[in-house]
Amino acid sequence: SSLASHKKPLLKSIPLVHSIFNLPRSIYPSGLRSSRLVHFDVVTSLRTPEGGEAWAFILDEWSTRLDSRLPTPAPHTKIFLVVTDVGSWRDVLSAELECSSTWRWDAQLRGRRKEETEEMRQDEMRLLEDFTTCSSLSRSVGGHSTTPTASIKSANLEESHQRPESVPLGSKQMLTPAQNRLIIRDDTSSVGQYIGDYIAKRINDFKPTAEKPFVLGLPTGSSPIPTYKHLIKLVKDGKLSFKHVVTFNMDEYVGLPEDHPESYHTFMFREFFSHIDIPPSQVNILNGNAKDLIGECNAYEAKIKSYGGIEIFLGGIGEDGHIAFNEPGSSLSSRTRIKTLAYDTILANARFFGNDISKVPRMALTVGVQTVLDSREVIVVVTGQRKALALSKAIEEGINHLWTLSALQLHPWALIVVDEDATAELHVKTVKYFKSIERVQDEVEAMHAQFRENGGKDITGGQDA
Amino acid sequence: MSADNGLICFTNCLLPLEDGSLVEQDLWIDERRGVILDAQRTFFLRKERPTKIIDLGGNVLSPGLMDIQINGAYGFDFSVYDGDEEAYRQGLKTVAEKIVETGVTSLVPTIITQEKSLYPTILNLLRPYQANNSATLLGWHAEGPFIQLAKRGAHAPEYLQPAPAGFQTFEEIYGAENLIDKEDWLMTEDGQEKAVGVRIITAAPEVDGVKRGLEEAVKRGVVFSIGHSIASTDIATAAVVSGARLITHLFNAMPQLHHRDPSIIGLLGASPYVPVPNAKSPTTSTFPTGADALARSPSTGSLFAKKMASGAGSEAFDELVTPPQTPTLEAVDSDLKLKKGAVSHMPFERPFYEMIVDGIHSHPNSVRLAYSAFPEGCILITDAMKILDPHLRDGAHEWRDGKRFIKEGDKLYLEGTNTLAGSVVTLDKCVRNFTRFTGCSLGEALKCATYNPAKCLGVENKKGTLRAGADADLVVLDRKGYVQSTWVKGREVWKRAEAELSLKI
Repeated sequence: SSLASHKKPLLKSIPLVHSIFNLPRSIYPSGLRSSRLVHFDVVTSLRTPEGGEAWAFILDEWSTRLDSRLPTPAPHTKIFLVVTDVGSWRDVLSAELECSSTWRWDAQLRGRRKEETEEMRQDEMRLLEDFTTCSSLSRSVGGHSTTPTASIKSANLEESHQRPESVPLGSKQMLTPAQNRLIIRDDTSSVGQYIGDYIAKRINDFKPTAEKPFVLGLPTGSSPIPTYKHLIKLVKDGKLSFKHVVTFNMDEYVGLPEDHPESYHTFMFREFFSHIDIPPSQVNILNGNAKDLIGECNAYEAKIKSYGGIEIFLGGIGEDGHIAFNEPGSSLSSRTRIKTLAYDTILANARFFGNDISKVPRMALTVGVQTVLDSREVIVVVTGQRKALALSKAIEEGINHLWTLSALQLHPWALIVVDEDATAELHVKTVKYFKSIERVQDEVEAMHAQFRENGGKDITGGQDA
Repeated sequence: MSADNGLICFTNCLLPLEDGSLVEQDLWIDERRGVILDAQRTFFLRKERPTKIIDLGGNVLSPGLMDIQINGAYGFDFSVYDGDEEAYRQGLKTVAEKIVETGVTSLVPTIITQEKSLYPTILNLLRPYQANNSATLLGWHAEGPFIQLAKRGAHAPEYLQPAPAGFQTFEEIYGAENLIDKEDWLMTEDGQEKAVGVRIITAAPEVDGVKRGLEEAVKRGVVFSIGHSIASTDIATAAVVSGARLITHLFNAMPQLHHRDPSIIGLLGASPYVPVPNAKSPTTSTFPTGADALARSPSTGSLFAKKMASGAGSEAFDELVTPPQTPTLEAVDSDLKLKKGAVSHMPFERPFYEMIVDGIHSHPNSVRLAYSAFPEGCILITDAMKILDPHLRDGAHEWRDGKRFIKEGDKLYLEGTNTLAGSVVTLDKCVRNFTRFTGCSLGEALKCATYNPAKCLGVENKKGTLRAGADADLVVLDRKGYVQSTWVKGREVWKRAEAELSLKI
């Protein structure tokens, strides 16, 4: 049955269903979003500002049917239905709702239609705001309401700290077009300058405070050094402050003393932290000398989650395409864990340990591929000819666990900044394409900025870059 | 802004490292404890970073300079004691407070040969002294009375004496309580009455009993220095093997460098294969040492006995009786060193040597020769007289006994003569001169005025370096080597006044 016409109520007597609207998965507010499955018969309970109740159902491909055991919601309870892909669910939903006698479908099914009017869009925006306000309020009150039904469960609501309202849905900052960008610059120092300026702008636009810090993921290695130098310069010039920035580093060797000249603690302090104004308590680096290494990894993940996730994860890439220490063969959904180092890596590192292989650490703690992809934005810096092959495999070929950086293709908001040398293995076509759209991207971003400034709310990742 | 946590970060500065290089690096100190911090440990373990940041504008931030031979300053003479303890203490205090303007934050007051009854008192008064606003007095340096008459310089001849009972004579003269083997004072708390500090004794090893005395003194932690001596090469080498660590003002008050009997100056060129007893060395040599050597070689000081007999005159023109044969190291049946590069690492170590680098006490060429021969042992000193005062203008000044002296730059003459009356150079001026005389970098010159003296005295963990845990005694120099400010225990105790910025003192 076609639901094309939105003037006809679909079902009788559902006083409550408010709206169904289309959101990309990645922008679910925390607590309702996860990489796992959410079932239609799971109701998430929320509170409205007025103290009333609201429910939310999320549909995705594993949702089955509306659980008829659910109690009838009280009048005026707002209900939100969130679907990922309206098209495929229209039929199912309509069938379900039609069959159910306890619900009256009052509102209209909306999707992305060409005739969408401004008014409809405004409505939609408003509803979205309601939705997110309720959900975030619920979070801040500390969880679920007291609806007694057994089946009200939240499969994916973790008892984590309140997510600070860092980027509420519908706010100006958050919703920029989902895009994967490749920026090409002439040399390593311009790459460093670009990324440094970009991060500085993001931090300054975010306006971090003590309650709402900016969470940044940081790498080690020679590639990010020009970026660090530029960030240090910005801090010294007074254009940037790290006072309310929290950092999480990607990795650290196991068994190496913290003050060893080759430990990543030493590297980060020497190259970055000693020169900027970040408070030491806001620096997080994995502890490779912990008694319980697995506990350390889990605690790290939990700490990231407690800050509400990472805003930007800056990373480099290895010659074998690895990100952090996720060497080829790592699972693309991996989390922070202990990793044994490949023989190649140990050989490459031997020069820092007096060319004595026996002194090189064999294990490291590293964030997983999925940990990086869970961040809201990922920036990868790739410079030098040695990384060219890895870059080409990650960009031009498929997602492959042998080139773990390729997992970036699934991320909605990735930025890769490269220098000319690193494009050596890319097809000329690819390079030309990215260079040309960089110019257009600026225009589109300007348009979105304008739209947001005029009070409009971006809800979709409309950009098809 | 978070509350002041007492940590200071010096940024935009050059730090001299212990190898003589200068690196652009920040330095963190704790001004409450007065120590230099390991910045990384403070960041990750203490989880703190300095709240106060001082931008030094590209200047050099060096450990405070250390002067291990200085006879007085600002009108106070360490060797003059007229019975008033309070006045003496006050004099010490004055010197310590004022000398910081020359960049010196640690010094070892030196006393010349005294009438013997005065020694125990004065040495007792020269206990280590450390106040928050002044340079540290590390202990004492006794020059004499066991020195050679022929090379006494300005020391009173009637008080010179040998040490017939060896170390016992030392104890009789200097006072046994001053030579007690006490735990290093730096590990005791400040102000402890019984603290025994750095002790340096300058004596001539050829004088009767001195060599025996020095062996015991070295065991007590005294730094033994060869000076005011005419020892032959053998005796000088034997003294070093017995534990002498230092040479007092090289080139001055010692024999000239004769190529067949290089004597004390020649110690800078001593072979690494000089046998050291109780050392596990694969090579042996019959390099003459020990009592036989003393008997075998021409009578000690014979070269000079002849010279003194013939009267005054430049030694260069004297026909000297030279030893019949230069001693050589006996060939040993093992492979010679095959790898090019650093000198063989053998147990024998050449001593440190002090130099007064005013261009007057030694010719600049001599300074460069010595430094080139043995850079790691070079220590800069002033050996300054009590008249030392950077603000003293040139011209005639009253001295004592109705005599006057004339000051001309760093030269000090007795009025009416051409006799040099002592040194009035400041240690920072020595550092600047040194860079010009030898062509070395500022970092290496600073090393000779900070790390090397500290290493010689064994206090390099607390003074003279930028190591974590060392006292935060620092001096800020501009890139021309002029002192801009001085810090003692983390506090600024002297700063160049704006008006004086252009003055080249």
